[in-house]
Amino acid sequence: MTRCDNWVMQRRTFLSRAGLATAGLAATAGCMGDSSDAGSNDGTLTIATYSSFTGEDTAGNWLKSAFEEEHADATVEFQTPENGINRFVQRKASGATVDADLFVGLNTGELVRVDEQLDDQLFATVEDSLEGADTVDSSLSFDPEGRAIPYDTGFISLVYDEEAVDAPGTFDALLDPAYEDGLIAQNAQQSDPGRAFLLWTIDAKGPDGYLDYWQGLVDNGVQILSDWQPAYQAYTNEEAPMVVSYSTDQVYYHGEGVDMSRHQVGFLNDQGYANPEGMAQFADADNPELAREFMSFVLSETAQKEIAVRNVQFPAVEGVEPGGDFGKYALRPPEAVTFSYDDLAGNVDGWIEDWARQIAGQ
Amino acid sequence: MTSADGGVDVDELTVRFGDVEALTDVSLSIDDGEFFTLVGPSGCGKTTLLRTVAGLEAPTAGRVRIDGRDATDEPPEERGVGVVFQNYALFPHMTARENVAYGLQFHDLPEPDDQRVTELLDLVDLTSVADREPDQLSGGQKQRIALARALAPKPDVLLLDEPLSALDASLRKRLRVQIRSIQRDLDITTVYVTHDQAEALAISDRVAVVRDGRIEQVGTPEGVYREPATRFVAEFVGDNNVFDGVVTGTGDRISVDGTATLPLPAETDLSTGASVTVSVRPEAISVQDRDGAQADGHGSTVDERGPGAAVTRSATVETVEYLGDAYRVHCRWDDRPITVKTDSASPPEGAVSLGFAPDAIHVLSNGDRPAATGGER
Amino acid sequence: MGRRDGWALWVGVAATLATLVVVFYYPVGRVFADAVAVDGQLSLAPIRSVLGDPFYTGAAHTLVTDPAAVPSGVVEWLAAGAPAVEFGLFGFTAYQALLSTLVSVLVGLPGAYVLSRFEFPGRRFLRSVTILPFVLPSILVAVGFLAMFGRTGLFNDLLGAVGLGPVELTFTLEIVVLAHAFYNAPLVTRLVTAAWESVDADRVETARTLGASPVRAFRDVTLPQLLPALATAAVLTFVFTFMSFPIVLALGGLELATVEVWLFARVQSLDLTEAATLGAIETALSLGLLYVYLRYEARRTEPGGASRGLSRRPLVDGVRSLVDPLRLAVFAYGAVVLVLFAGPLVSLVVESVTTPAGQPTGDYYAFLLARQASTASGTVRPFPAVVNSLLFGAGTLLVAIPMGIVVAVVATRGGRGSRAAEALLTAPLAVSGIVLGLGMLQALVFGTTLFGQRLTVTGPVAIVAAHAVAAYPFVSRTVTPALRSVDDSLGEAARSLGADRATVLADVELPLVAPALVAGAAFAFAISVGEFDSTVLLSTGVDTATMPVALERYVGDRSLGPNLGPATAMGTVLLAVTTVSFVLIDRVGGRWE
Repeated sequence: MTRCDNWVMQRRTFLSRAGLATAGLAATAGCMGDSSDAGSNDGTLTIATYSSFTGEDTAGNWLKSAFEEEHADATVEFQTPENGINRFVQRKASGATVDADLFVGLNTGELVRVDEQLDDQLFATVEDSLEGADTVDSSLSFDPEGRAIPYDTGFISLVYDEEAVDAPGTFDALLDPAYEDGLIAQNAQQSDPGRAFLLWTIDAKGPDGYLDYWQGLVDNGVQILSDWQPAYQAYTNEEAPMVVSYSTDQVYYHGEGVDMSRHQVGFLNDQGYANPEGMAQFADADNPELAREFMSFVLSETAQKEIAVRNVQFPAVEGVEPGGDFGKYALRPPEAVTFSYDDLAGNVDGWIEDWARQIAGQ
Repeated sequence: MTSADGGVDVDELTVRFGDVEALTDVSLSIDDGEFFTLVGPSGCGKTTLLRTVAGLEAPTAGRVRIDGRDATDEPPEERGVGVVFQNYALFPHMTARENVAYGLQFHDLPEPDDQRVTELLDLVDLTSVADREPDQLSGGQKQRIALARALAPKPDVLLLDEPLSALDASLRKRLRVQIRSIQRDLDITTVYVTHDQAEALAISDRVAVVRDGRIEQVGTPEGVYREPATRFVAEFVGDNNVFDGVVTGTGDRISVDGTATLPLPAETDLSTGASVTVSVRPEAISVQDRDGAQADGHGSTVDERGPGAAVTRSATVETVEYLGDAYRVHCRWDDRPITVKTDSASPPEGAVSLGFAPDAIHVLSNGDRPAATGGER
Repeated sequence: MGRRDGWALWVGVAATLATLVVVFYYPVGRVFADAVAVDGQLSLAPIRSVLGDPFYTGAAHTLVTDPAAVPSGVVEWLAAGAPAVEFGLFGFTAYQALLSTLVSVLVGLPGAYVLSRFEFPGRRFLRSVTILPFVLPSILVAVGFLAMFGRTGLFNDLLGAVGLGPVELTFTLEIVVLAHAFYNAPLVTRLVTAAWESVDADRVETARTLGASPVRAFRDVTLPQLLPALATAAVLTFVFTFMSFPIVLALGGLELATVEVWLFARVQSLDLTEAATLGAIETALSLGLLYVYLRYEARRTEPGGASRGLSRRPLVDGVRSLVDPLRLAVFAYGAVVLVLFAGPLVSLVVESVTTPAGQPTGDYYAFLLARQASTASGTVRPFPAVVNSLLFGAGTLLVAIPMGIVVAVVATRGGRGSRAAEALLTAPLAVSGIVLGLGMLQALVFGTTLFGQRLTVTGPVAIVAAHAVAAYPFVSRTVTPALRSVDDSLGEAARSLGADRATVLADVELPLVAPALVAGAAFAFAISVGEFDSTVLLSTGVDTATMPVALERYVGDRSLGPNLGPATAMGTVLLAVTTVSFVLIDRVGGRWE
């Protein structure tokens, strides 16, 4: 089990300066590479990602424009398969061609699944040869083989209504009568924050203790809805005073006359569960060089700031500070926890299944 | 016998539905322009036969020829038949006129369709209701529209399946005359299905009596009535008295149940001891009150006056039906029921004397007897 | 029957089968093959392992794991006083489906009564829009239900106003069952209304003249004539709610999970064998039920011939009629409908013009306009989505109606095995959408190697075909009983007049079953407009996005913050477009009735 480094304020400030410099270098290198090697880098870069990464006002759209501006001959195209990375695992397994160069939006559990499902490599190892890969916060790196490179992260936390409840503060407090019928979570079988929250409880209570803890939560009236949207909607409709969500909640709710009382971020045990998002180049990519240039570009400071603001997630490159409203309202947990690839491999499916059976078998 | 042109021929037709054989090895030949009636009790297969001719059922074996050509494998729409169904089957979403016109779109007639529709509506005398929908027509009107619709495309053969059965008695009689006269005018080969033997006799050139999927007898109405071939035909067509007996004496008498005797017609060549079934029409028996009758001794004594002469038997009246122009008298002759029809002015009653002319006694085919025992009606 | 059919019918049968094989049987078969094979060998192991798992089947798992112990187990159970028995995930799924079916029938049947027996302004409109709930994505139904029945929802406000409540419905089985009724009671209403409108008035009047009270006449004469339609609706509701998935977890939570939730989780974690096995068992249960039902229906439906429909009475007939107990009951029912159906729909529309803080806003519609004006790649624009939905809907009608008619004609021919064939042809209703999606992905999107070529089937034509396959069973299910009740002699008369089989169908049978056909067409259109899974799977980019796809994209769009405002605005557009479409379908179809 890996603990992310303590992100105490002082250290972050210090690192941000160093990171900024490195990111700038990486961006420059990318530009130089482009101009000197133009012939091999033109063409279409096909990026597979989740649908909300693309379209008007999104990080994806900004990246496309900015990247195409720097690489006059390159065109970025997005693919948004509904079943995400599974699409490519299944394509590979069934002998169909992998028709994209790069996957954006991969998390640790998904990478574990990719490796469990496939004997062949779906992704290429790029870390050592990728400009800017060394600037990424090592605590967020989740692929021991250096294929998936984190580009941002979210922190799972509680969002609560301070007029209805006090900040629970600890996992154990959630079992108190004060928080009866108080929490809405998500189904770890199908929801990212739901899975992250479950893993967080496993981190806190241990693989042997989390089921008992969840029994306590269930007895205290926790509700587990399908996904983040219905859960947050139910919270908005005041069905419960707490919901499992992201620590960036206030980024959406601030300003003159906005009532922030329903947008309090609660970290349990002074932690938040980090859910880094990575990008990885397909081993069968038609355009691997362009894919890696794009990856380097994503890690550039400008891109990191834009992604953070537009995707409402924290940058993965150390020291990048998006500033503005994001810098002001996105809250980092005092301590970030997350399971590593090795922790999850061979375990995560069983943990989730046991949990889901216990809940559904009520 | 096959009719080379016109008409309908059915050769060795068998139709099976699952385990049920509806028609067995039926052969018929219907002449061009003939009005041919299939008559029989319900379930006998007559409708199946008509539907097979129409192409609405496929035969299991055998052929159907229409107008000299083999139509067995033709779908109904190519057979050139017009069908009138028992429930008329008028299209409820079309007016009477549209119903009549419906078939014309599939046929090229020399005259314009409108003219043909008007002609047909005139023919059945229903021009006044042409624009009504079927549910605004009376039963008789529906029936005539159905007839007009079937005739409109000038079919080679007209097939009518119990077309009058849903109508009241007097309308039925009027319409059957109208159908017959239209058929004569158009000179169209017509196959008519009915369970009503009186209707069959009244309307047809020839009649086929159908029973249990087989043809029992084919003949003119008079022939079938007067000389039924089997016990079944004798009992189904018209009223009849049927007796089983054994030929006795010198072959000129039969003994019925060993307790009574009847004379045999002279021309039979049955030898003594042979089993025989005979029938006597009620109207061929005279009835007289015993008092007014010529006393000839005991009712069951054998008449000794020899073949050819009338004989009398004593009987007792049980019930009398008044038919308007006659009485139907149900009597008991010893233990046997016997029906007599008389046009006497008053109904007979009590002990009566029944008179038979020997040539009124009709000998039925013997081959029928095993199946006919039990008095199936 | 040895009736010979025209070639047109056989071409239709062949085209229907070809479409079904390509976009349904083959893809689904490929998935289900996993359920009955291990390493390429036929095996019952996957099915045994699911059925033998007490989590899935509860007490019934011993039937598989230790059949010999079942009799003694039953004896012990009886000796213990027959306590309640749990039948695992399958047991609970069936239980909630049964409850949902019951409530859907209870809510839907009076609706059919009102729509078919009373005349009032807006009756036709109401009849047209009954199936509106069908097209709503579950996320929006969840939004509408929370806004209506939530702790702080409108329903509790209304109860509070009359001194009642509050009721806590969120996260309960009750609200899930209500949501299922919201989706499926309209199905009951629509199907039964069509049947009620064709009840023969003569028979009802005969019963009345024989001394039956109106209630007895209903029970003895009307009800038997409604039963086939009612049973169809009930069976379909059971099958649909048995396979219910998103709405259960969106309103009820994981404690109320159904089999489909596990099936989806298996697909997510790429445990495709167990997914296939769960899907195969679900489908076997659903198909079995459909088969039993179809046998019953074939026995029941009697040829009715031309009949005179019952006349409608005015709902309001003078002031005094307003206090007649029957009309009071109708008004009370109207209030239930307002709360259960209009409530969530209106709440949804209200949500589209209200901020989470409750302030009026036009931002969500401005968002739609901004998306329309956007040039960024990957942006789903609302107007093309509307156009695509309508085009796919129209295309679906063009394909699904002939398919449904062909299947109905085949189903009414009778003969050995025709019920089994009909059940198989109705299978698209009985297969989980997740399984079908998986099959389409593997067989159509990834492609199938045929004669050395890898063939893929995607794009608008494939989408229309997939919609048609999902939709045609509604056409055939509504048309089959109606067609069966058309007097055979009408068709025979037409044939003897020179019409071939196909002409008979067009000239005689279809005009006579027009009400059923229009009902089926409305369902088919609704299925197409509401369809999401295969649309997304088979689409080749944002140019083929439909309204539900746009809506889903806007759910994930947080440019106005993490709220569902833009989605509710798009949902309102979806409601408006489909309302107009349903009214048009009924009007156009009505000209034919």
